[in-house]
Amino acid sequence: MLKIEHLTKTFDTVKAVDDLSLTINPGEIYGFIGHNGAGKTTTLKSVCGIQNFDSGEISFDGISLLKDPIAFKRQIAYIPDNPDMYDYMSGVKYLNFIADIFGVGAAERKERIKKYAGIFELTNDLGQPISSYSHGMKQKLALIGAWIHSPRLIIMDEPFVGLDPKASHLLKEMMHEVCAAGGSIFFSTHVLEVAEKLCDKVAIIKNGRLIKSGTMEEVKGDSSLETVFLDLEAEK
Amino acid sequence: MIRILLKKQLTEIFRKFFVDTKKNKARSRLSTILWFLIFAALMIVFMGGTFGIYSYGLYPIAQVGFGWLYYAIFALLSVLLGIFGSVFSTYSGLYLAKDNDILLSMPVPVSSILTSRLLGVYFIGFIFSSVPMIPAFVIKFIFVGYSAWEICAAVLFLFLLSLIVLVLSCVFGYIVARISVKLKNKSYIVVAIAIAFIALYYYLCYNAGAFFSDLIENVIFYSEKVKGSAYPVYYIGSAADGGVLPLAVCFAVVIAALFITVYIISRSFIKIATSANVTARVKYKQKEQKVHSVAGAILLKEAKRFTSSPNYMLNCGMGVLFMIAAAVLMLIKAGDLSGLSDMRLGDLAVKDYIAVIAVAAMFLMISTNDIAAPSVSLEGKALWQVRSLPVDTKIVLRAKYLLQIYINAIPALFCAGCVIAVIRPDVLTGLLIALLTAAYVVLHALFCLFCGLIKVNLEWTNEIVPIKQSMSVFLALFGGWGYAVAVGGLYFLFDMYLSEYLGGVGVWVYLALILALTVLFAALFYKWINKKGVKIFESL
Repeated sequence: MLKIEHLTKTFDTVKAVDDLSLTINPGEIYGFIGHNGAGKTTTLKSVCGIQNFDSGEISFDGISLLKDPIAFKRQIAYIPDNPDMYDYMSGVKYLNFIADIFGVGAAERKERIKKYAGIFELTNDLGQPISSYSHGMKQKLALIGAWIHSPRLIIMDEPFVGLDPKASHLLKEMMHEVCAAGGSIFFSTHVLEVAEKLCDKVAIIKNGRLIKSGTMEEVKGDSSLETVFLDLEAEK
Repeated sequence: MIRILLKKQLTEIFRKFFVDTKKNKARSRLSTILWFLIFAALMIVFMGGTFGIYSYGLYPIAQVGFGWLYYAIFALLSVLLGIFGSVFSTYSGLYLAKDNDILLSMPVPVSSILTSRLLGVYFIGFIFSSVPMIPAFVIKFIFVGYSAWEICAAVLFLFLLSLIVLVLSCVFGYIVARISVKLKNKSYIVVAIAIAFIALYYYLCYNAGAFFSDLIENVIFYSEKVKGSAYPVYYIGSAADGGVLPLAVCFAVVIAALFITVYIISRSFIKIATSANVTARVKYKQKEQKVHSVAGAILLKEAKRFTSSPNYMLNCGMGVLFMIAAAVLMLIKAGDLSGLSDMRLGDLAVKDYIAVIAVAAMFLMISTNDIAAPSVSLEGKALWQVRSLPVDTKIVLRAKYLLQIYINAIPALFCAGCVIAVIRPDVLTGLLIALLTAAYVVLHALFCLFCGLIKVNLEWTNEIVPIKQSMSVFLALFGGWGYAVAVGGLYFLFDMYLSEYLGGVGVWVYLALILALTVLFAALFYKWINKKGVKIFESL
């Protein structure tokens, strides 16, 4: 279970995230919605330990990010909105690098690379340098890199941007598989239809503050998520 | 249309003068003008000055009636320099330009795109080919004399030369483009070619004096040989010397060659421009992958970063070659050095000075390898990766300085071994030389990382900025050189004042003191990296 308690992050004098608290349970797909600059990426970066924060506590199954960042990071995988990767590596070298870091055995990594590269139709390109990859191919490689070590929590920033329709569909299936196995997904998106169909729970953030969260039914009621979101955005 | 495209082309070529790549911001008008002036001054003072000296050394052959040979030599140098300077810009600017697709999709005639690209290549070739040729003309006019026609012929010849360079750049650029898409280990090949050129340059510089004397003494013999076996060279030299017919024939031949080249390129331009960025395809074979520890994986990542970039290898790893070359040279010249070792200059024991100077020289060469200095900045936009992974920051930083230590250690110790073998010091001094070398390899790696951490720049758009133009590299390089000079220079004071005061102690005392200092500094930097450095890296 991921617990974010009173997370606050300030850039100079601007509060990018202001006293944000969230809990993500095992088996949940949790959507994170907000306008550009609302604080979604800052929150996600803080949760996966890329960015320091001013105050608050983040923990996964009782492991504190602040007290034991290595043990915390072993449980998670992160995919940013624009995966700038190690361009000088080939696709397969990159996946092996990630597998080495997470201690994935030789047989397991071979099998997983075969499986996920096959799913995303990237097998033939794994020998190529990442610098020759398109945005979509980089996104797919980042996804395989995230799935290769079977993390218990996957954090994704706008994961569907740049993916073709088939890959988007496959990703949604893979997200459901993770949750069915007891894992959880926390991702940000601008595509409200995707969030509405895919997420068990959703949180809406505005100007760094969480303004609404809960199950999809609790948040949207009988309206569409888009109507709720636009109404909340219109409020001062 | 061509004017607009040419303006874009030249802005791209001279982007550095208009955009501050460190800050990714446009330069002010004043700053742009200053950069252009600095560039012009560098070209005139260094390149022009060098060729001016060569011209001065050779003008006697023009004085005795072999002006064509004098000019032919500089014309060949101009063509070489022009091709070297513009072949890579031809390759990237003509065949691999990133905006070929967008321009081809616009209502722009292909001929206009091609012309603007060729004019860009021509412009670069003109600058580079003029650098050796203009001083040659000036020196000859000053010391041998000139006529109005000779000045006109000189101006015409500069244009002729730039056209030759343009044709050859297009041909070689095409070859480079074709070969490049088929190569797998491009970075190593680029490094090998660059080193070969540098070696050739130094070889020519080193032997220029002997070559000039030989040429002046045997000018008749050489001129007959050129006329007999390389008649076009004679013709080109005669054209530069004001021969009307040679000038007309050369122009006719070069213009014809240019037309053929442009015709061939224009016919295949779309095909080349839209297919040239296809790289050699590496076929992926599923196989058992090697498993590494976390520290091993991070170290391999750093090694891969280093070996994948010719810029990184050439700018931060050339010291390896210097050390090996110095060691080999020392073995070759061992006889001369061992003779020196036994000498005394008054109270000074030459052997002791040689030992200290050799240590300082090794420090200088070790300092040339500053791999760890740009390594933090080189994480760039991919920094999220290592920060989101479950890896202790100490391991990430350790990999950065360990790579530098591993790359430096073997050539440095080999060099130290050769120093010991050649100067044959007593056992204690020899041991201290080896230990000092090893200690400095470690200190400099830690110091480079220290510089990299205090002067981080993650906002670069071209890797050459952190590798070559960053404050971290500047500090690492000059800091290391400063330490080397201090180690060499302080021995004079030590020997003059302190050694006598201490009762004539040997050089080993000084080396032991330097070793203690080096180890102390290394320990301090190590401690700083593991405490403050970790914090800095984690807050990036």
